[in-house]
Amino acid sequence: MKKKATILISSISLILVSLLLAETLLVKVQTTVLRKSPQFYATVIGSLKYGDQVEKIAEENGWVKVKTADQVEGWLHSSAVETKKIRLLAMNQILKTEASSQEVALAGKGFTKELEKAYREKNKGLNYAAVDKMLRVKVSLAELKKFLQEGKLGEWSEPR
Amino acid sequence: MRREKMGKFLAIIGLGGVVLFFLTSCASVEKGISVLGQKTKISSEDAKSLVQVAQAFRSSFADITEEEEYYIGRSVAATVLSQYKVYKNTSITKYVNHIGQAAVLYSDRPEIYAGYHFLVLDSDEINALAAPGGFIFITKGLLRLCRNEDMLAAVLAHEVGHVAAKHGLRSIKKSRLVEAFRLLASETAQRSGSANLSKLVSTYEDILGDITATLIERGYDRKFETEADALAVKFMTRAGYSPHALSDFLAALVSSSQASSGKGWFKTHPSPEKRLAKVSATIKALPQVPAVAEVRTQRFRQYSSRLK
Repeated sequence: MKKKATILISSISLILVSLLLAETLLVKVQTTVLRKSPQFYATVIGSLKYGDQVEKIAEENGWVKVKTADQVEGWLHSSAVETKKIRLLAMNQILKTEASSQEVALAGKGFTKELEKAYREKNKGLNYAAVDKMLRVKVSLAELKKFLQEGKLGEWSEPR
Repeated sequence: MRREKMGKFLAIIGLGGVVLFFLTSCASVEKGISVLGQKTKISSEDAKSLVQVAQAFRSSFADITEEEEYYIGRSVAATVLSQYKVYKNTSITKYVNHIGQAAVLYSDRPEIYAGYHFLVLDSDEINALAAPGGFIFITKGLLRLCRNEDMLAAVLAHEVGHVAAKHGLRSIKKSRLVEAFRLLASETAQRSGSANLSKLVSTYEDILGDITATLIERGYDRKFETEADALAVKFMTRAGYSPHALSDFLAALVSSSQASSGKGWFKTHPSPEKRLAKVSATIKALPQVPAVAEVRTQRFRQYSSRLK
């Protein structure tokens, strides 16, 4: 019992210490890119994926300057990272590897792929194939830039 | 023995409480937890309890993660696409996606889990729908009602506004969410064949039902429509589209021959006359707004002339 309490207290201390060191942000979108400056059209200097951790260095007009695990510094749009509230369930990813119990992994699941699978088995007529096809339509940043430029939009809009 | 169990339970609740305190106040917990996972030996039972404590504390739409929003949206979109046929025209689909992405780029929430996606539905009914997670649909009938690119951008920006402000997730009945979170916290809920799993699946069905009924049958709450209009004006102005095009679109709805049909948009949206007055007031309050550019109207005509 005493040993248990010691472990828990030291765990809490470790959390607190790490909190004081630096502000860590978590990538909350499937994929995103690291940019050289705080603009969508800036040069891409790296890519990040869901769950990646980055250190926050600065903040400016909806963008955050971060440092990645590979020590690369660049800008991310703030909507791609968790700034105030952390994803509760992401901790499960870490606990899963530690505890190696499948039950732990499953207890932390939310409305995800597994639940979709169970729902689909019950609702067979739904058109997920069309959804997957819809997801395949992608617009690259280069294409979008050209579209905006030609349409006198965004940075290329006419002076008002 | 019983006392020991009680003590352990309290310790876990305490640790969970500390974790949750930081969850709401700062972004570094992830790091803390990873330290916890690597440097100390916590039993699988304790880890499980921690996750369950975290699950049990979720209570509203704001606790739905981005990944979950995407999965909810996928199923809502699958329902929409079971009721409507897809309009198969690659160049028009691409054009609509370009305009949509322009609105997204200048929105308050440009990056979401799997990005925004736009699709044209093969229906003459005038309608537009936005599922959570960025699945946005407009009908061919609505495309026909637009006279220029800015009007189409107005509709798409309005739908992006619904997604950005999570209006779909907000239309889920709170009691269902609380029930789903409770079931997710239960360790047996994910075991195949368990009673809790089937309860979880049917609660999930109800959650999806709340959203699809709102999207297709009832329409969003009036205040959400007003908010989406205001967001559309904001995103359009930033992107360089004329926000007056939203007024033009609403005026076109008023004079549409479908207005009296009570179908599609007319069933799920408040009367365009009322919205028109509010939108005009929002635009009037802005110092300067972009105008419709002829170059955009020309390219719009190229695409719309190919509409079948």
